[in-house]
Amino acid sequence: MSPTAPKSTPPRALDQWGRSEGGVFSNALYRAAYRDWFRVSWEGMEHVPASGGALLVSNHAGLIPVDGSIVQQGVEEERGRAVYALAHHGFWRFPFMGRLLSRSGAVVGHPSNAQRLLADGQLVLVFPEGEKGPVKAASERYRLQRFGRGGFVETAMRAGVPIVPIVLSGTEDTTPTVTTVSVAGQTVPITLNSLLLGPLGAFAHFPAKISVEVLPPVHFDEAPGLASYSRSLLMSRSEEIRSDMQRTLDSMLGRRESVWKG
Amino acid sequence: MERLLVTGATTPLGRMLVQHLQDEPGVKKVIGVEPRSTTDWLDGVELVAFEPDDGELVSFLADQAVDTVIHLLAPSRTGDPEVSGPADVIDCMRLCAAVGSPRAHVRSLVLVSSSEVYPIDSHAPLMHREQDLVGDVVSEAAEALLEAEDFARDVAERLSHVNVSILRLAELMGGKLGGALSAVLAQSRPPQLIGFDPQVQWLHALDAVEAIRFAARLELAGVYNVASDGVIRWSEALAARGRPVTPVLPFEVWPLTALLRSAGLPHLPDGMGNHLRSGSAVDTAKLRAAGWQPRFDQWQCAAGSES
Repeated sequence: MSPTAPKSTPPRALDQWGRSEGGVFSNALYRAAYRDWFRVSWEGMEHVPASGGALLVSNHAGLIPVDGSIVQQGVEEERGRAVYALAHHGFWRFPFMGRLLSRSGAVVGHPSNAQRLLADGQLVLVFPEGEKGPVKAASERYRLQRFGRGGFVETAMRAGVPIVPIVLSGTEDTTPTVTTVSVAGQTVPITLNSLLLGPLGAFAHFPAKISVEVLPPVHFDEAPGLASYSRSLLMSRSEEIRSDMQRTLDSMLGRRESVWKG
Repeated sequence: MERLLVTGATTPLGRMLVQHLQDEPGVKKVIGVEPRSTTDWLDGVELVAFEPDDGELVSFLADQAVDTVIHLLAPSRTGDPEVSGPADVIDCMRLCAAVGSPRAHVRSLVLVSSSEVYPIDSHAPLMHREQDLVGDVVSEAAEALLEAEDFARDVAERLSHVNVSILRLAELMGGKLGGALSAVLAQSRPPQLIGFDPQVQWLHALDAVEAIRFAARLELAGVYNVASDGVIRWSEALAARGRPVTPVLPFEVWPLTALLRSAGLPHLPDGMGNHLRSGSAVDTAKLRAAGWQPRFDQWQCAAGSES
């Protein structure tokens, strides 16, 4: 009951999703990594809608994946739009980690969160491979893993927004998996970085050139907001998107001169 | 809405509600129902002691020509320190049966439930929508509330002439009202868990009263979340209240937590871990789309502003 308390809310540094307004991505270290370390280049950025909700779908790889931050940074710089990335809720159980993720635009990957963001006209980034991408075996290099049960297609259909597939190459060369080991039932990739630099090597990404290609938006004819959508329809749409992305990735890798020059 | 019956009328929220309902244009009579007797009661409001019994209640509703029943279901949302524990499901069931009787002429039932039906956890949605509640029932309180809500929904489905509004109130703040989180904020040195700054949310008591009046007046059908405007981070709430931040261990560490508690040092308050780690809030878009606007925002709630 402080009598000096202001009568209304002062401006907030974070939005309702906990994202810091331009904070993290205007950080000099982030920008330096994006421009000078990974030398990120984009093709097809015009396919990211200038306004309105869309579900961005990308491949996901690397022990400490950089793909999410790269898509967020690129779209924010070139399209001037915030990207909210869906991430596993387990990260929010740890002190500081959840706050850091939220600040940088990550949101707990709950269907309700995705629907509310999309209904609000935001861009939402999702990795349909989930953790299967980062922990996949060395032999699966640049092979997209299963896209789950096609839940991301349902999310887009229900919200009535297009899916924009985004393919990144070079990301798997920043922390190349040499082999995987099983620790307490969890698959843990051993990367070349860790072998050369020890445990902290997991955070030391090699300066592979990262190229990003945005595919044309995929629109759906189904009415939004239905109680349920055909499982087989979701699976077939999901598989179409996955094979388009794999084809694009293969062609990007075929065109590339070297890991370092792109 | 001419002749109203309000249960839980002697709880702090019930009392405010009855007072405000008397000023509502068109309202001819407000009857408070309360099992406990009280000497300090409001002028012009009839208070009846009600021992739950089907037959009597139906006759009472019919004799008094009650057209609107407002049932304060959630003890935690009435601000009454003497009433705690889960909602009384049997009472609600009896009331629903009486409302649904052909002898009664009730047109509208407003069930005042609470946002406790939603889980508070890191894997829960950041802001709960009414339709998000599926599967996991999280607590005894939630289970009782949901069961009671089901009886009200059953009335709505069975009887086309009775409108049923179910309001899920966020934790109350304002005046002497408050809940578990408000109690933590009211401490002289409220704790903040190291590494966590969750979003929390309150409902100002006056906004609560207005929302209940609004739902009764418009005979809103369905389930609606109710909260004051926006969300607020715990650190912002502390700032609004003018309290210093007291960092505490974010987890229960036995026997450290017990030692801190017995020594009177700052520690994680019992049962508040998820509140202070993950936080909880509801999405009020549905009620706003129906035309309701809260008068208070979260900063005002946290600051304890009265107007």
